[in-house]
Amino acid sequence: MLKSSARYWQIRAGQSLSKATGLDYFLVLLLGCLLYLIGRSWVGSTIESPGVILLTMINVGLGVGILALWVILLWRLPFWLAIGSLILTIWWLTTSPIISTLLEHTAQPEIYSQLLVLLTGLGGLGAISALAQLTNGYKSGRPSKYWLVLNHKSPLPSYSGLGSLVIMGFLRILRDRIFVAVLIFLTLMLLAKISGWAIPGSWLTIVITGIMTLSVMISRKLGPLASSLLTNFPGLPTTKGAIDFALGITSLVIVAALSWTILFGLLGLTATDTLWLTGIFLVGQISITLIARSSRESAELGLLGGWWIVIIQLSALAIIYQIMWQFNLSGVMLILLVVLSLFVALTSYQEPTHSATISSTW
Amino acid sequence: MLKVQDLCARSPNETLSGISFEVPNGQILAVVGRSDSGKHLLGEVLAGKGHIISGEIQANSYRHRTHRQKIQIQTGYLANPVELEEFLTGFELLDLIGSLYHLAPKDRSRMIESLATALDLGSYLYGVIELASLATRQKIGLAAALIHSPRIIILDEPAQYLDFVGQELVEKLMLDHAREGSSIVMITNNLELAERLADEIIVLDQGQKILEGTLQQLINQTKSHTRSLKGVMETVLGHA
Repeated sequence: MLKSSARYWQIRAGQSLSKATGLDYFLVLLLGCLLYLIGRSWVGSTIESPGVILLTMINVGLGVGILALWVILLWRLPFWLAIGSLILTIWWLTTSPIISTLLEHTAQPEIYSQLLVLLTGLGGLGAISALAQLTNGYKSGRPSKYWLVLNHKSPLPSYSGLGSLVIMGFLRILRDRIFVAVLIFLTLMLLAKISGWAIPGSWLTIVITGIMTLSVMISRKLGPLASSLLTNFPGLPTTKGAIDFALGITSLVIVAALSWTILFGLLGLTATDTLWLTGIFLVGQISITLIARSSRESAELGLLGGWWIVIIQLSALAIIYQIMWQFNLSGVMLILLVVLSLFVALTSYQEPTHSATISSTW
Repeated sequence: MLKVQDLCARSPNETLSGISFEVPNGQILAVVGRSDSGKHLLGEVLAGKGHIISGEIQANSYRHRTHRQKIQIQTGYLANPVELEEFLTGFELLDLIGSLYHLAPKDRSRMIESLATALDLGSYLYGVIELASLATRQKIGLAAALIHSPRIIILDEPAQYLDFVGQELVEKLMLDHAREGSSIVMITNNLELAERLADEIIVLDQGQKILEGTLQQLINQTKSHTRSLKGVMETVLGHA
């Protein structure tokens, strides 16, 4: 009875997980916004800086997410083993000095402390992902049902393919064992520093070296993807430039999430500096794209589906920047909004210049 | 309909010299020949991968020189060897390719389900390609080539790595697509498969077309001692 009940809940958990990790962006975005608003009203009274509030919320969310992933991971183990591991985890969480130090940092209304917790959290996420690989039968070669808890079974809400490419770029990075290992190593270094161990090198050295290593790995992993796709599927109605553009956005998001946040915290870059950096990067990317479109072949393929869409997207971005400028929001908030707006722009419906559906002339 | 006229192309290993043929809607053309006879290069050129020196490819009303992209988007190509993105699951790859062909999510879902059923992919569809067997990779590659319901289908060794059950599934899938009006070019060393499926067969040797017709026509032309494609090949190309 107990066994069948456990099996039932295992199946239920699996189904819920499939739904929850089906990358239903709009739901996640909505929940994220709600959580942010609730959190802001709760924390906002004691912490003034919007950047710190945002980071605190991200860190809390990350912590809850890691714990949830851990529970989901345990859920796949045999029932008694899962219960035993859960009790062990709860005991460790309540007694570990590392956890109490991390909680202290999370409660600190300083951006420096929040950044440390963020990096540690990202590393923790990497560690859980690595464990998920092992429990997914990676070693035994069995087909994995839930690969890194991101395996989705329903199509992504992308019509142009560029949104899908961004997600695939993320998966390319997340599923790289060496990347995960480096992330875990960086986390362990930070954990050791937080715990007061005598680790050689300053905070800045550790963080910058780690981020540079991760950035190089990201470029190396995403670089060959466009050529590989077009070699094997030469009929795809896209160009190498378009694929590189989408993957460039992916790299930007990952590297920005890691490095710009750190630079903002450690080197004291202001929101205005970050605004200009973001603006320059995006204008550069879009200019290159527009120049590429002026050639006949690129124009026929249509990276963004038509000139009017480009104009609308540029206008939308200009309005966002103007709003950011007027409200003088923090760099972290700005990056988040830029990333969200780009994501929406890339995944929104774009009228294809050619249809894969055959016309009646056939 | 696919029409090729006086096609000349070159790659480091193969050449094509003045190849012409026609594949009407709903027909399967098998291209056979020795290794490096030019059949692999022919597949690449038809898929828009190789560089054409001279000649013309026409897909219905579209000419390669003026409407290359329109031909390419209506073409499905299975490369040989098929190299897939190892870090994705079969489902994710098919979803990505489908979305790049501008298929709506609902259509992609329907097509993936239909192809997975037709090729009996089962739970392997949700496994990472890195861990998949050669047979599963071949099936996923084939599904990726067909996900946008192309009207011109170029398949380079579609049944390689597959067991007899897998071969039967692929044969059925090809016949279904032909029945729906697609023009299929099948490049293969599997002479029995060519015999079973092809409406017409062309034999290439050193980049040139040396024979063309139905199996019966080839047997009659070569006065082959055995009434099989293998006999025809042995007669015109000699024994190994």
